[in-house]
Amino acid sequence: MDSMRREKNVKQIKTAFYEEVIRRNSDMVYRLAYALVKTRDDADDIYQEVFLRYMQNEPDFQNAEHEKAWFLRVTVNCCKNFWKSPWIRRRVAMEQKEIEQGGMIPGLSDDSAALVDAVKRLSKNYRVVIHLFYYEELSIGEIAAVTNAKASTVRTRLTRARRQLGKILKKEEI
Amino acid sequence: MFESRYKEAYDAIAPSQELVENLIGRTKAGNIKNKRNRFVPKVAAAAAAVCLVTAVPVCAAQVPVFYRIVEYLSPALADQLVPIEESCTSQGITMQVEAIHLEGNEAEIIISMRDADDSTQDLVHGEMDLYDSYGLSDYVSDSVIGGCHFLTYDAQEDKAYFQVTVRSDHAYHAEKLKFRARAVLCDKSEEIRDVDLSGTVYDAKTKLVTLSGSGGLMTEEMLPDSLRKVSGTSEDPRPRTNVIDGIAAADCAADDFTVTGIAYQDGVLRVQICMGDNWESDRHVALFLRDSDGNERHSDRSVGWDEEVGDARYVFYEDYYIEDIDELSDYTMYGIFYSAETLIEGDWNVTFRLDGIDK
Repeated sequence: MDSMRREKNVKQIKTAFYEEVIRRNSDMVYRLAYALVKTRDDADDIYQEVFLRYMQNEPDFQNAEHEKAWFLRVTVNCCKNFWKSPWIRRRVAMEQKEIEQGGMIPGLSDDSAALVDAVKRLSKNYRVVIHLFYYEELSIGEIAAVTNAKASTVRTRLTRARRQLGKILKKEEI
Repeated sequence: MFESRYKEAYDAIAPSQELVENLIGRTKAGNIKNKRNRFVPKVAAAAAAVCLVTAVPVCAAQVPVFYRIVEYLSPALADQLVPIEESCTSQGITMQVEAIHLEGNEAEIIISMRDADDSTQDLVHGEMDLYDSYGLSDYVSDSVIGGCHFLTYDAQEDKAYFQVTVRSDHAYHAEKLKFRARAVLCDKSEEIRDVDLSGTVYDAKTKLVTLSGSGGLMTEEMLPDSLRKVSGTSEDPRPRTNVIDGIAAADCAADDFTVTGIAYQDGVLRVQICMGDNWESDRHVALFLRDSDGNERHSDRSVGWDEEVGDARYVFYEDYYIEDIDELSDYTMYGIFYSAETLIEGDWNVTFRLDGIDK
């Protein structure tokens, strides 16, 4: 009886801990997923997949930075798996009108919607570095660790992404 | 500051409350090991509803293969599908409408194809294509545009699965719908080949052609003037555009791919490929430009047209890549070249009802 109660208590504590971690990382995971997969439906799927992986793997985070890096890396990996699907590869070739427009997101100003749409036009490798650099404020080295790429590659991608974004936003100062 | 503008834009993007609470609810319920369970009750309920009104009742006792496939690829879509499981046979192939999701003027339909039970042929054994011969009618009008994606071939069931998306010019109201297909392409194959960019021409001649289609992630407004469409004539109002005047259609292979021109002009790399006589093969190419870091990308935009050669019409595509000229030497290109061996023309029609289903 005691062991059952103890088991129940452990489960409750674990669930409360999961909930805390989910709430703490929810927005960060979802924003990165949305920046990468470009639609809410797909971001919803990635979001769930990331937290399911978290609960299945139960990683032991050493500190807040470790936790943040883990979630960012797993989100990027889930998006990479998503892109590998043949079904998704074909969908990439669809007309732009079929990609969710930034203007469809409630609360986005016209200016912000234009920026979100511009980011969506970048290739996926560029979207990753742009988001991690400008939103998550990660350094080149940290982005390299999250994306499993060389720092020099990240730097090149970031430079090219900024240039492309500048072109798309018609000489917006970056 | 760009940083603050970026942050402001993405601050507005967050998971819906429903999504967060749903996930936390599942955590509390201990339902985290098998996320597919989440969707089954809704589909089972929908299946039960369909049982009341369809001629061939749906078996809701087990989750069908198509559902597991769609759930893996897109849980959001799987959650919304209503099982149909009505079929018809033509030319030794049975087409089944597995499930549908209707929303306004859009329909997502899951279709399967398999060798008919009494067929001695092995026509369905891998990747196939519905060859743009499909449509959905609600007896008011037919669907006007759409797309078909091959999902997978399930060897155990000997079934090829497709996801078909169609749009009508009006919201689907009718409770009775008919899905039709007129042709399938079998024995699809793909081959990866390098495309040699070393012969890129910088002063290519161009010619005006009438387009059969165009598309891509970049809008036409982002292209230089030389690549923009020109209005059609009064006799033929279809848009025209200037393409590379490369290898003539008559000199191209009828049953293979021919790279007919590669040029760099006005900041755009243009790669033109002839598919030959495409009527029974559906040859097409997905080209990838790769930089020295291994980053790959699709074209920014492409145009298509066809040219007459004797009794045949050869199909051409020209892909555009907007690139800086000083970076061009770092790039390589390869393509996945798709082809199909067998075109089977048939007459598949499946009529089904959606009475009582929450559309």
